[in-house]
Amino acid sequence: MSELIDPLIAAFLVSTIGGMLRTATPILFTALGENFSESSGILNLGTEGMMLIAAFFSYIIALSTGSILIGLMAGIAIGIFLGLLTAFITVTLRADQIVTGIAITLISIGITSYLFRIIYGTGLPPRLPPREAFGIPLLSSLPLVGKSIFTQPILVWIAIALVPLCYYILFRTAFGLRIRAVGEDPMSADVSGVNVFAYRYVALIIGGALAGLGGSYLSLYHLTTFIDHMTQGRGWIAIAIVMFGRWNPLWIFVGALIYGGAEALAGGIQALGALRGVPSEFLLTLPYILTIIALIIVARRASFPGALGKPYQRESR
Amino acid sequence: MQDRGGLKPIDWLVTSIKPALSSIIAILGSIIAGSIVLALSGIDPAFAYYTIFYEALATDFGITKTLVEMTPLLITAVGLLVCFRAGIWNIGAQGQMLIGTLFANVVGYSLGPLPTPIILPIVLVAGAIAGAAWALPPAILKAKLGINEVITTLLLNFVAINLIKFLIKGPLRNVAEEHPQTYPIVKSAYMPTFFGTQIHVGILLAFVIAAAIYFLMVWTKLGFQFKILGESIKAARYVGLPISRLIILAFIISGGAAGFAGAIQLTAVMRNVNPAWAPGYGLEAVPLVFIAKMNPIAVIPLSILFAVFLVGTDIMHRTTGVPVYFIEIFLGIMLLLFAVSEVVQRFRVRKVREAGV
Repeated sequence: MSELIDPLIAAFLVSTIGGMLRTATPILFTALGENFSESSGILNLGTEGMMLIAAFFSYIIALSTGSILIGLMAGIAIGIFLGLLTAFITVTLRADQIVTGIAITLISIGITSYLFRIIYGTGLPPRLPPREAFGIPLLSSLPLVGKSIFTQPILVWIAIALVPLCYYILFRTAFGLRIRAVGEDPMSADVSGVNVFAYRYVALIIGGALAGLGGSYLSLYHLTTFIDHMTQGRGWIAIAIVMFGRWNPLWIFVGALIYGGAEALAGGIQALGALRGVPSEFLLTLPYILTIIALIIVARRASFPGALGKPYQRESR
Repeated sequence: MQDRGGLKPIDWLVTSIKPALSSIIAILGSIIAGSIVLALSGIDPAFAYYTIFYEALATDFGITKTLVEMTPLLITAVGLLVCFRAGIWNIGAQGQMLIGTLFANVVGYSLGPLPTPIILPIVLVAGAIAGAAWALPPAILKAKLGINEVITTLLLNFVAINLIKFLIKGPLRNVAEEHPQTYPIVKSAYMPTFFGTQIHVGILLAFVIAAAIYFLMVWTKLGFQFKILGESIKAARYVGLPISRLIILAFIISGGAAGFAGAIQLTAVMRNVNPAWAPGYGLEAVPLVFIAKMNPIAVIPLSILFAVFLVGTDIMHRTTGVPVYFIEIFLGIMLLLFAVSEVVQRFRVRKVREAGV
């Protein structure tokens, strides 16, 4: 009866689904955070840099303290710091959000590779020991799928749990309503007594913390090392996923899974050796192209937060 | 005293510097911030900056290298300038350059040994066409569907990086070589040089293109339309400008410039492409155009300054081991300071007005 599906293909499918959850995780964290920033009206293009810096600092701090948890905390802390910095520059000083984001990313690419050379020279970086995985009770003891799908690093489950939580916060609480209000029409929000600046600061801090978590996941769990510009555009993919998801955490989850699926599939095909002789870079273009196609599919239906990208100025009320 | 509109010399100096103030603050500020980074990593900043400027400007080798590095930077920057002036954020010059260069490379070895005056222009134009073609998808998506071009151009950079690696290691690989690389262009497609130095004709071409862009932006109707679009899309719509066409055209000009710049590097310096080739010009040109305040004349001295920093840090890296990534920190801080000082300046102007001046 099980001959309906070739066991090899079944194993491939199951491991790809498991891989999809793992590769979707850093994107999901960052996109859920970026969703707070964008819903409040700030287009934070610095996510790529935030992830990269967090990946670097969580890695060196986990190595020097010997604790993954402290590394993670450091990654979140540096994400919060960069969120605050971005808020100060774009909300208080009202500098251009696109230029600020690109500048922060440029600095991050430079500073991580620079410090890495200063600290470790040109030799191979030390590797972290592999992380322990967390199995969901009962489900993880199922045959085949139990190990490859339901046993994952704990952060994968945290990321998935954040999806309904973020949805609840944004759409079912007064706090979320105010975040969306300052992003949609800051002037009216201000008139009705909502502190536009404070809510944008908080939204960017949440965005920074989650981008920090996404970046830390990359270095501590995904690759268990640091490589130059290891985020490889994932911060920007997260922004694309937010647009694809039309600022709704549930659709953002779908988008992250599509990206994760493409990346896992590319890795799976490569491991299988199905395209022997074809350089692996061919498959690496797949997740980026798929992300752009996803943007095209929803383009007509996108309805941006009304004040996205525009600084708010009380005097102009 | 000459008549300077009734201003004292010091006031005259202030008013003439003022438009460039945020750029000057950004450059000086990034030099100071760079000193802090260097000092914290145990390198004497005075020595480092001395080395950068000495190596890039005081030796024949340095000056030549600075001019050669300036060339792709200047061409890419004036192309981006058109886009940015039109309010279009093409951040994909890097990918457009990669694709342009690779296509120019293929054209440069497959046409056979034609005479230089025929094959060289063909190769350069091929680079421009391929660069413009790579800029078309984000252009059309922006113009027809309103999809954010920052995201699409950034993502297409990664597609281009992986695509050319795949092509160089796969279908376009020169099988006669041990390490993956493409076939070299024919000798007659090499860019001519002056008096046996490495100073090549492409350097002059860069200035010609900069002049052409200046003419386009300052003297033509098209340039004026780009500016209106950049100032306000509402105004552009109101006066009935063909917005989609302008968006696509701006992308074609900047993508074409990036591809052309890559083709010059190919014919003058590289001759073929290997998978490790990762030009930073496309990304470095972004802060450059902003610091130049999108002024086609200011772009020229600033490309020379940026080239000095590129060449200087590269040589400093080889002699003293300071990581080359210093340049990205430096340019990033410069861009950030520029963005901030632009708005802070606007604050002050407004406050003065409110005070009743």
